[in-house]
Amino acid sequence: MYARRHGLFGLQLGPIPSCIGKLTQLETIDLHNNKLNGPIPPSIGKLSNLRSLVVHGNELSGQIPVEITKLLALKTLWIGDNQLDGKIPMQLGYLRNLESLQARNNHFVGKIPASLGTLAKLETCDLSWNQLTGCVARFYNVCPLVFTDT
Amino acid sequence: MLANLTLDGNSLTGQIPSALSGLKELVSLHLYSNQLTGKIPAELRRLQQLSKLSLFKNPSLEVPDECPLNTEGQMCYKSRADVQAFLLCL
Repeated sequence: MYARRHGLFGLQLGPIPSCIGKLTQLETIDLHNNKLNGPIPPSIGKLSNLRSLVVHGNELSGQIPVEITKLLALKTLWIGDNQLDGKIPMQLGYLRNLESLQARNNHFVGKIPASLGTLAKLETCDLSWNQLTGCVARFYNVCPLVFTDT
Repeated sequence: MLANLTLDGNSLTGQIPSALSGLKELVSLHLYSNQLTGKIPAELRRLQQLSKLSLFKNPSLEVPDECPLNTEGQMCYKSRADVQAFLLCL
C-alpha cells in the first residue's frame, strides 16, 4: 500500500531518502520548511504520477537532478529557498504540464533556459535571487522544436 | 499563459524585450535588482492586466521623462492603476 500524499512540514529531518523513488503512486510530496539537507535524489524521477513537488525552505544542496524532467505529470515544482546550485536544466522544458515553477533564492547560475518559454501551461515562474545571467529575451526566444542551451 | 514572472535579484543584462508584450495575461512582472539597460519598450502598454511591476535597481535602465515613481522614488507599482499610469508614459 502506497501513500498517495506525503505531507510533512515544520519537522527536522535529514536528507530525502533515495528510496522515495519506490513510492511510485505518490502524487504530492510536500516537505517544505524542514531542515532537509543533501541533494534531491535522482530516484525522484521514477515518480511518474507526481503532480506536486514542494520542498522549498529546506537546506537542499547540489544540482537539480536531470531525472526530475521525467516527471511529465508535474504541475507544481517549488524548490526555492534552498542551497541548490548549478544551471537550471533546459530539459525542464519537457515538463509540458508545469503550471508553477518556484526556484527563488538558491545559487543557480547561467542563463534562463529558452525552453521554459515553450511551456504553454506555465502561469508562474519565479527564479528570483539567484545568480542568473544573460538577457530576459532568451526566455521568450521561443523555438518549440529545438531546444538550445549554450 | 504566463501570469507572474519574477526574475528580480539576478544579474540579467540587456534590454527588457518588447516580446514581453505578447504575454497578454501577465499580472505581475518583477525585474528589479538586475543589470538591465536601455529603454523600457513602449509595447509593454499592451499588458492591460499588469497590476504589479518593479524595475528599480537597474542602474543603467533609462527612466522615461515624467515617469511617475513611488513614494520612495522607485519604479515600483503595486496597483493596476499605478502600473497603467506608468506604462502610458513610455
